[in-house]
Amino acid sequence: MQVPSVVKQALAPFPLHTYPPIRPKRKQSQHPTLWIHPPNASDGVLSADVECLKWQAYLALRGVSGLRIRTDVDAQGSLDGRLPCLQADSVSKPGQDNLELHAAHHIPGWADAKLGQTEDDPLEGYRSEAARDESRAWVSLLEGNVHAALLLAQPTPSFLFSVVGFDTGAKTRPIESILTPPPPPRTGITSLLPPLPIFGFQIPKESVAERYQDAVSALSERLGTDRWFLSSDSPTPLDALVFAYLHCILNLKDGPVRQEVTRRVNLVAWEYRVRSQVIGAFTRTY
Amino acid sequence: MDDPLAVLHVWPGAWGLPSLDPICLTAILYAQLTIPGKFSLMESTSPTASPTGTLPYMVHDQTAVAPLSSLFKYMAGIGINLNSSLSSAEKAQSTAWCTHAEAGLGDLVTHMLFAQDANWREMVYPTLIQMYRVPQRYYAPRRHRASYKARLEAAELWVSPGEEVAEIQTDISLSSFKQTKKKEENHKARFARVFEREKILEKARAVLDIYARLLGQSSFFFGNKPTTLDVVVAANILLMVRPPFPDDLLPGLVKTSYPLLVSHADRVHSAAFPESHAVVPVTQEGFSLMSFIPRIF
Repeated sequence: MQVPSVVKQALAPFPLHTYPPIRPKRKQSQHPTLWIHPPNASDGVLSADVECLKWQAYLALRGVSGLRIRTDVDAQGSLDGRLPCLQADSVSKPGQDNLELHAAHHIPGWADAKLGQTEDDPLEGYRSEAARDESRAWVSLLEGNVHAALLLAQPTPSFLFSVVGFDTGAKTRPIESILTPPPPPRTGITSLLPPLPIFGFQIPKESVAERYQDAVSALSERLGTDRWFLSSDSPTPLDALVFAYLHCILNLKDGPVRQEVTRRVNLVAWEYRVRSQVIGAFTRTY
Repeated sequence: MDDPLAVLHVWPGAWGLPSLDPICLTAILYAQLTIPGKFSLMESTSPTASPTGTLPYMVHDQTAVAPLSSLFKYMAGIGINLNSSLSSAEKAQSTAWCTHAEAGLGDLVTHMLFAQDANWREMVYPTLIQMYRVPQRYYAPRRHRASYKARLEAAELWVSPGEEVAEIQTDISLSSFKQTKKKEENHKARFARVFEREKILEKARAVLDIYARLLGQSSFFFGNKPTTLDVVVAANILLMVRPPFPDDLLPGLVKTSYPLLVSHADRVHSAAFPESHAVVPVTQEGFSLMSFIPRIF
């Protein structure tokens, strides 16, 4: 149906311009690229996020080299809405702009394919079955006690910022799901006020700090003067995890959490030695 | 007695055990092994007076000691130290193992108590209602259950949507429309439930296998005396097998596939509560109106 001329004249001062759609450029890469949260330093290659750094360390310690990193991708733009994400190196075909992306839990399989290893080792690189079982205990110690202390030590955005700013709501595990026993709501279980999310949880800071101290002293004791954790002959996933946590703690501002690690000379020396090996595997692209 | 008795505040007992919470039960067993006769239990449902906001906590001579790790150190300081025979490397390993047991086994126990629908509806919820006083018993048990939700969801041990649908359907409904919808959703709910149960069994086996291998054929984990790790594991296993759970998924798994862990738990329990020893004095905490008032700091 025709637009009436009256309406056309009324709308004449406001012309409609149409622009062609902007398609995001899919940057294929000759090198495998890891999408991570940005590092602390502008020219660094190690991510400031524990999860991303853990996977960086895993790849580097397994011997994969020539990796690039990309820090300009938001978590929402990657698989499952979380980083890290691996963009595999792909041969570019004209007219095809598909990216071969792998989520974090597929990285070990990709590394196996890249290195030409078929990882059917039930011991996963540890010396014995007992060492492999013990590694599970250390993983839960790190991801429980140490992670809780790290979360509390990192600066949190203020409430105003999270309301006003465009908070993408990163899917990191909240602290109340890490602590045992789970913290009660701040209004209490028996009080008359209902537990609204605005009040949050009653996080016991002293108990987190104490468990963290016990965890770090146990870590230091267990490492001793070994080259790799649990006296393994070669680096294992546990070493990657320990390195990620130690590096993030040592990058915090000076405080009780950082001092607990700097007091343990063997942990500091171990982190320093592993860091150079991990940094060597990565180059920045952006 | 010259020294005042230490008072250990715990969640009340049920089903033949001194406390229904795994961490409180660990504290009680540890206290019985380190300071027998020097403490009394106070059954409390309001953890607001605790330094950490959770139970258990101990009050001794005007000092309040709160999270479990501090309680272990405090009780070892005033009584017997269970870890005295361990080397420093073994003590470090024991710290890691205790954390893993508290997290892994504790998640399984809280899953059985609060997330499995039949257990919650028929056993735990009625028990919790009896423990709370009149106005609080209408809202506090559900809040108590909700406080475990974040942790169990992260561990993928929370109730699946299929089971939640089953819960809604048990409500009495008079309209026939709801009856027909119930039949369709029962099929989907059952499908989801079977896979969910298999996943939970896998997770449970992954954790329990580790402890079965660590224990092997010995009486205790380190040497021939109970240590802290024995107490932590035994408390969780006792809460998995002793209560009369309507849903037999995990208790059945533990009793049939891990009999050595069950006998280890019984051994630690009888070491803590030998027949000839006096029973621990238990008091109920008095009701206080302060429990209604939120303490928002």
